[in-house]
Amino acid sequence: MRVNEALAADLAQIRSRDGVDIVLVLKNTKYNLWHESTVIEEGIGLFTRCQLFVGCRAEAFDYVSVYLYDTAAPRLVSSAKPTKGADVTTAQVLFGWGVERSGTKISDIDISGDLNTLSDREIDKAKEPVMEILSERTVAVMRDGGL
Amino acid sequence: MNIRNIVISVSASLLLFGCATKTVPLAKKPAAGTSVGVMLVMDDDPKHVHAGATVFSNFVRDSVSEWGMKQALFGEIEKNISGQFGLRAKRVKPTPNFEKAEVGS
Repeated sequence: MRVNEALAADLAQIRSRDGVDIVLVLKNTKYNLWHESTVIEEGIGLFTRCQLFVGCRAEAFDYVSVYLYDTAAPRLVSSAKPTKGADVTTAQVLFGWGVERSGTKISDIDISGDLNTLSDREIDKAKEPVMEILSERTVAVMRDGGL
Repeated sequence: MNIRNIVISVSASLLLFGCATKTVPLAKKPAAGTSVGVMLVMDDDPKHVHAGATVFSNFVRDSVSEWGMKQALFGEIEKNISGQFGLRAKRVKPTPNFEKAEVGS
């Protein structure tokens, strides 16, 4: 797939400056995090949401697309977008009256605490699966690109 | 199928194929040890997006963790490029055009 003139010029410049024939680009991509409401975000992070009677839920998101470009004859060789949002559920937090929807024990997370503390802890849990997903996406793009 | 339907079908097919964007794999694999540029157009730290019970309690916080995502991700990609493809990863600085580029353009 051809690229626009600006990207073609950049690819040619990268080729002469860095001496690479192919470039893998990982780029933030905007997505709606929550189908029930418009919460547009991009990149990597933690999404928490709280609903009356249901409680709060924490999920990691990885809205990053991967592209493989040829610098010799500037063009897009292959690409992959995130297929779904918030696909790494790291935890679910429930108030006492909520209906349990995941295997996570209520005692695992204390929603009465500071959400800042919660986010740090949950992001810590999300690191490994997010890296795994992005790594798989990158390998898939390289294989599709004929590498 | 009458002539009119055939003409409509053929026209629709031509239109669809004409609009389709197709990517084509590299003609030949790069030699072992060749460098692959890796450009990471993303933040270095994750963010925390919160949707509260009402819109008034929504918030977005940047830099909630000193994860150093880009370095960690580059390390992972470097491992794959070398281990699975026999190539070398080379970090490439993002250019303004790639930072603002539309998806796949």
